[in-house]
Amino acid sequence: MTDRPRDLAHIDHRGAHAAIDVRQAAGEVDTAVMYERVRAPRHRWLGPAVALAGTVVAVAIGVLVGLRPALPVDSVPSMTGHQKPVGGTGDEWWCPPEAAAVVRQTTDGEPKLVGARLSTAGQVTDWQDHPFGGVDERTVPDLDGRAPTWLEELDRDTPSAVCTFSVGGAGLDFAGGSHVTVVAPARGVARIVSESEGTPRPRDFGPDGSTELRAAPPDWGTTIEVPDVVGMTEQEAIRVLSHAGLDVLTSTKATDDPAMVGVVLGQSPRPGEVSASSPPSGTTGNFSVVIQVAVDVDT
Amino acid sequence: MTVQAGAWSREVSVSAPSFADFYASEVRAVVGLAIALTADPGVGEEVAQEAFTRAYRDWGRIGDYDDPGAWVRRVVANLAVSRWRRRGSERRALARLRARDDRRGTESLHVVDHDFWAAVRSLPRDQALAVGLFYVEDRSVADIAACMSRPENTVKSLLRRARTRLAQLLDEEGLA
Repeated sequence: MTDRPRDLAHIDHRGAHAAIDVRQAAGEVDTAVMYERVRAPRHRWLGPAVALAGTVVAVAIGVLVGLRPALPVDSVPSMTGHQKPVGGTGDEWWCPPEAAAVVRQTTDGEPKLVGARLSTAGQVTDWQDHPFGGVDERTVPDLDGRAPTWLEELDRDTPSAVCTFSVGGAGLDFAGGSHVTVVAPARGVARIVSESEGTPRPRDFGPDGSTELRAAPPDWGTTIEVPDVVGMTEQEAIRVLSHAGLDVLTSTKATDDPAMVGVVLGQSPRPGEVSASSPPSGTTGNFSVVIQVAVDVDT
Repeated sequence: MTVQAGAWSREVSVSAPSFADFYASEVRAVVGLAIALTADPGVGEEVAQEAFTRAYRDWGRIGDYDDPGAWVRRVVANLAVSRWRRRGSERRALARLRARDDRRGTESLHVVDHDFWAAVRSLPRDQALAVGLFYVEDRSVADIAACMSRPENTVKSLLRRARTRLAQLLDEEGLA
């Protein structure tokens, strides 16, 4: 505790000193020449021309070789009508919110996701063919036992932050527990597609394809937050409740409406804050939520 | 007359600044930031030039932003980090071939206090940009928050963690 202020003051001193060097170096740059280059016509078209040529060559090679790159574009909302090329190369990760997506068209007519940035949290963001990023390898840190506040403070650039965003993307609510538990993998090398602004999403994490973070069981007597799962499908409700650290028990109710089959009709306890006063389930130590799922009346 | 005055003032308030004025007022600071984040004055100049080129190319839109300079700085940070990461694999391959530690690729640095900026570049992008704006441009937390489109508390947190990490890194390097 006593060393910290001294260390940070030292960093301030180093930073201020280093800034002088940078300013001196910047002062030596001939900005007038740079200005002419900025306004030179060739620079206005060189980037797009190179990008277009590269795309043509890549497509030609792909057609010749018969390769079709895997395009993990699941859950990407419809971007038709919202296509907005950004900067020609799609590498402006921090573009304004209106730059919602960069989508290019492939020869087979399927929209190929080159890069996407969605301003809405929780949506899929992918960067499969990012010219600077591409497929990357990161090491997943051991997050077991870390407090949620620690996770939330992480930057989206860090590998661990990718896990953090997967928590948010899974709709996990930390209100039910003070710590998170990494289900899989606790530690290891994760192969991911590089992230972009907004909601990076891990891909191909671990042996089962994804990294799952789960809230630890709440302490006895504490208040837990029960998500509202009425109207969800059974699988979705189980996922949401499980990610919130709750066990799920299922009951059924017959329905003659085929459209309602598999839909959660009710839950107990009701959504909202609930005092965890009931005994936890025996198998996992978690608290249970009962959901009522509609089934076909004939079954 | 009052109507004309109002119309005139409204016209002035909504008109975008000329790119030349914008460039003249921002270029030095942006180049400095780019140099800090790329480790090399030549590469920094190139990155800054590319950022301004993109701004110029789409000035009709970007010039209407509240702070076009913030947009250019964010592009600089993205380009700098992209290039740094892209060079990372090359450095690692070179290090393997030479069977020795690469030391974060400081071989091409021309900036005098390169160890500090090398440590900065090892930070996450947000932290690196915040540190660059804080030290190179001597901006306040409020200014950095506006530039990064982040809450002030987030910027404070970024700077706090960045400085703590820098202290660790520089101590590890035996440079403190």
